[in-house]
Amino acid sequence: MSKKDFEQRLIKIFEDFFSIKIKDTKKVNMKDLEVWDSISQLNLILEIESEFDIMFPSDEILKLETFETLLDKIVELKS
Amino acid sequence: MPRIIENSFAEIRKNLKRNYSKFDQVKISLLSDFSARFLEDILKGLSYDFKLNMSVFTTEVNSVSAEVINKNSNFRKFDAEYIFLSFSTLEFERGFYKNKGTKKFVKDYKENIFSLLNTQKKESNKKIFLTNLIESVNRIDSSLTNNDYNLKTALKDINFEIEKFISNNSGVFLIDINNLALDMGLKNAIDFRSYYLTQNPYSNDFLIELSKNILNLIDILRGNAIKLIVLDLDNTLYGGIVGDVGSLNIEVGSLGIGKAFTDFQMYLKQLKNTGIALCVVSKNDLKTAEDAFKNNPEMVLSLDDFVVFKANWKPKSENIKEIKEMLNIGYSSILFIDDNPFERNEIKETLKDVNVLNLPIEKTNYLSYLKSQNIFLIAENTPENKLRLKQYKNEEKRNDIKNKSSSFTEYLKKLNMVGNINLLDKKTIPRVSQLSLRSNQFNLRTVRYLVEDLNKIFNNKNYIVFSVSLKDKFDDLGIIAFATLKVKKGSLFIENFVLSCRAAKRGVEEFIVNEILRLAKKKKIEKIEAEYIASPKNSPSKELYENLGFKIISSTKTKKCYELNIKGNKNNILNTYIKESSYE
Repeated sequence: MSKKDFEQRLIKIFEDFFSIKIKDTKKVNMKDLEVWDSISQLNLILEIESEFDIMFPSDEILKLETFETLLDKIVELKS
Repeated sequence: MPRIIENSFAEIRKNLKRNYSKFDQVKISLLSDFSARFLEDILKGLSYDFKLNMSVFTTEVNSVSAEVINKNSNFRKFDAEYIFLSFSTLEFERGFYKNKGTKKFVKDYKENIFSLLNTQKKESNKKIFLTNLIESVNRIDSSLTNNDYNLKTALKDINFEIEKFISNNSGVFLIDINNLALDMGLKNAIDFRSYYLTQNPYSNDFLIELSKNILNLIDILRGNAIKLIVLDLDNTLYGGIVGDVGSLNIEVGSLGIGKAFTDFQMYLKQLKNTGIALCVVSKNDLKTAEDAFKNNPEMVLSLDDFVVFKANWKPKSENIKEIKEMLNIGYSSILFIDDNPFERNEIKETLKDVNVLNLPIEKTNYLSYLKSQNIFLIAENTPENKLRLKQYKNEEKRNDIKNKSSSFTEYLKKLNMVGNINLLDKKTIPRVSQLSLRSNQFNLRTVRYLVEDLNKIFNNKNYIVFSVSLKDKFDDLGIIAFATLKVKKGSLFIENFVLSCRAAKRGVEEFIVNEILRLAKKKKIEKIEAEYIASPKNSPSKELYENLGFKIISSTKTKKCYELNIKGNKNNILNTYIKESSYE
C-alpha cells in the first residue's frame, strides 16, 4: 500500500472522528484544529490503531501533533 | 427509559453533538484522584440515551479535598445534586508502598475518604455515588511483602470499610467497580498506556460500563426502577419447546444444558424475593404452558411466583398492554425477556418505553448477560416489596369482581377496605422514602425524600407526616400512601401527597384528606393549602385536588395552587368506602 492510500484512509478517520471536512492536510494539527486537544488525542490514536492494526509507542504519542507526523509514523510502522 | 444500551464508543461520541435541550437537566460532579475527563465525555454521550441533559463538573487531579473543603470552590459553586467520588487502586498502591505498607497508612486513607463524605453530607442533601477499589490491578507478588499485611489485605480492608459506611449512611450509594473490573477482566478494564499518558487508568469499554452504572442509579433515584419482568417460556425459562417435547423433556435441571436454565430461574426467583414482580407471556396453549410448571419437578419457579400468567396466541404487545393496565404501572418499569428476536422487535416497535433485553443466542450466557446489565439496584428492601407481589396477584381477582359488580361503588363496597393511619416513625421511614422515590403518577409535587431527609423531618416540629396502610378482603397492601404537612401560620401546607398507583381511585384520596382535616381541626387551623406541580409523569393526578373539593387559587401550565377553607364548615368530610381502624 502506498503513502497516498494511507493518507486517504487517515483523512477519512479524521473527518469521521471530528466531524469535519479536510481540504488541506497541512492545516490539520493540534494548534489549528481546535477540537483536537489532549483529551481527544488518545481516543483518536485508539481509532487509528484499530484501523491500521498498529500500536504507537507511548513515548511517541505526545509528539504526534500534526497530520503529517501521524502519517509518517503510520507509514513507518506499516513498513 | 431505555436502560438496555449497547452503544459503541463511536456512537457515544456522536451523541455529544446532538441536541439535549429537550431533556431534564441533571448535574453531576466527578471527584476523583484520576483524570475524569474521559469519563465525562462518555457519561455525557450516554446520558442522551437515558433522555437526560447532563452537565458534568470534573476536578483537577489531586484537588478533591480542596474542592470539597473550600466553601468557595468551583465544585461548591457548581452545586450538583449527584456527586461521584472515586479513588483508584493505582494511586492507593503507590501510597501504600511509599508508606512502607503500614496499617496506619490504610487507616489514614480511609479516614480521609470518610471525612470528605461527612463534610459533604453534613451540608447538603446530595446523593453521593462512592466507588470501591479494584482489589488488584497488578498481579500482587507475595514475595514483595514479608509481613501478613500486604496490598491485597489492605485493599480488602478498605472495601469492607467502604461498604460498611454505605450501609450505615443513606444518601450514599455504592458503585461496585471492583465487580465491574472482575466481570470485564483486568486486561480489558485497565489501560496502562492511557494511565501514564493522561492519568486516566480505565479503558473506554470500562468507562462505558461505569457510566451505565451511574446513569442507571440516577434513573432509579428519579423514580424509574424496574418493577416487573415479563418472561417468555420456550427456550427462555427452559430449553426446548414444551408443546413439542412435553413437560418432562424440557431442558431444566439435569437434562442437557438444563442447569443453565435452573440457575437463570433461581436468579429470577431471587429478584422476585427482593420485590420485582414476574409474569409470563407465552405463545402457547394455557394448559400446555401450565403443565410445564405443574409436572416438571426440576422447575425452580412455580406458578405461584408469577403475578400474571398469560399463555395465548395474541400479539405479545397486547398481552403486555393488558398487564400494564391491570397492575397500574408504567411501561418504562417493565423489562421484557424473550429469546425470539421477532417478539422482541414487536415490543420495541409497538411499546417503545418497555425495556427489551437482547438475550444472547448462546443460551448458557443468558444469566451472565442479564446480570451484566446492572439494572436492578434496590436502595432499600422493605416488607412492602413482598406484599406488593401478593397484591399484584390478587389484582386479577379484584378485576374479576370489578367486572361482575354492577357499579364501581358497589365494587368498592365489596372490597371491605380498612385503612390505617400512622404518624411517621422509625419503622415506617424506609417504606415512605421508597414510596416517594418510586411513585410518579400520584406524586403531587414530586418532592422525593431519602431516608435521611425523613429523619430530619421526623425531628422537625413544624412537620406532620402520616402514612396510610390499606387492607381489603384479598390482602394487606401495606403502606400505600403518605402526606407531608408543613404547619404554617394559620394554615397547613401539603408539601407532598403521594399515593401508590396500585391503590389509586379507591377512596384513599378522600381518606387522606379527611385525616388532614381532622389534624387541622385538632390544631385549630382553618385553612389548608396545596399545590400540584406538573412532572413528565404525574398527569393522572392533575385534577386530584379539585375533585377533592379544593379551590384553585392560581393556575399556570406547570403549577396549580389550591386552598381549602374549613372554617365553620362541619360537613366537609368526604365520602369513602375505607373504614378507619382506630389509632392513637
